[in-house]
Amino acid sequence: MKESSKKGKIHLSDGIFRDNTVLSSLMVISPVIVCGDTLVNATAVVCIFSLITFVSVVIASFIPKRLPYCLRAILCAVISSLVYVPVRISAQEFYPEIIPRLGIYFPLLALNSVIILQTGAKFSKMKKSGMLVSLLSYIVGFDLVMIVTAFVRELLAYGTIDSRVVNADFLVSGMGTSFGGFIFLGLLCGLYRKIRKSVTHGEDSEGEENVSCD
Amino acid sequence: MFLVTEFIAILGANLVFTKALGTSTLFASADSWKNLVRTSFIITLFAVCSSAGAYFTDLYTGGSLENFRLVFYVLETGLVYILFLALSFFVSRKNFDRTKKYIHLSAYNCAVMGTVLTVSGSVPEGSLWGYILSGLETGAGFIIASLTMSVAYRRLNSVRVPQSFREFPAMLIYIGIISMAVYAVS
Repeated sequence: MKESSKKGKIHLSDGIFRDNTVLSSLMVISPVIVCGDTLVNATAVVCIFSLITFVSVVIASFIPKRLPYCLRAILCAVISSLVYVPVRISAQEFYPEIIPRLGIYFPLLALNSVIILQTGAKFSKMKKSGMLVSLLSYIVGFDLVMIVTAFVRELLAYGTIDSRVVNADFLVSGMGTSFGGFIFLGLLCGLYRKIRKSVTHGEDSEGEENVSCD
Repeated sequence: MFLVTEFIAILGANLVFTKALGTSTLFASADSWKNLVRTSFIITLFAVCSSAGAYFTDLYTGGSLENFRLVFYVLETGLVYILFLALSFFVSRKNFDRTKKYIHLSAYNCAVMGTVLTVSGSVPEGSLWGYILSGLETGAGFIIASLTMSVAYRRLNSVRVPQSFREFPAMLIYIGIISMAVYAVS
């Protein structure tokens, strides 16, 4: 991830537009590709991701910085997997039908790279107030992409919006599959870069993106 | 015919093309052939060792500990992580700085943890070999995905591709097309 702002100020829009969690850093893309085919799935993923990531990163930010990188990564993973336990129990109450559909992506949300990699590399180096704003912006950035992707893919693949049938003239059933997710996300990523470049007047040159390892 | 069937089976079980796991790692290491080979190798090792560890986790956890299974997977993968770092340090101190980057990249990687979570419960009880095989399949799948990506990497980054779509967007679309082919074949 790039520095959020050249002047050192952190804005809520940074993780949403300047350095989007999914479209710029390609973090947490697998749930977007595989689970982001309906709004119902997306809502569950968004709630679970936001809750686990926020709580885990806040707790993990107290891990001493002097520890070696690998120990910090392990501790972050342990914290998020512990946070996952109550979230899993609650989610089974709130989303009893959706959780089985998410399959392995549900526990994988607890081991996402925002928690494992960015806590040590970025968040723990920031002041707490700045960290909270930055963290929220990255969470909202993911949430927005997930919702937009799910909305478009559900409409194109199944002709529904939030499981309500709409008068769609044609359907692209492939949009509901993982390859449809890859292609749609690629197009969205290209569009995002185009818009960002036109807004920033080319300040964000190509190749500035820093892919994390998700 | 056997080899073709096996190849299709590996393609069908490919975590990158079918489950989108490890895609970002593939992109992060796609810029050079050496990076891809090293990353694939370390991910294979991680997947095999973590899957073997998952066998013991599954064997001894259950019932009231079911909700904590992810914590145990994280702990055993953490142990593998530390062991790999220690091993690479003692085997070649000269290359440690270079090797540890790949180890950091692979530990808690989506492909590794995805393998562990997929294999859990899908292999008959008492079959350690089944767990190890699943890890090897992940590694083989990642190597195939790496080869597929390395073939097209330069073209996807060439000036012929519109600037906004150069690199990751083009790579995502490319993987989507390969994934479509895999979907059709398997």
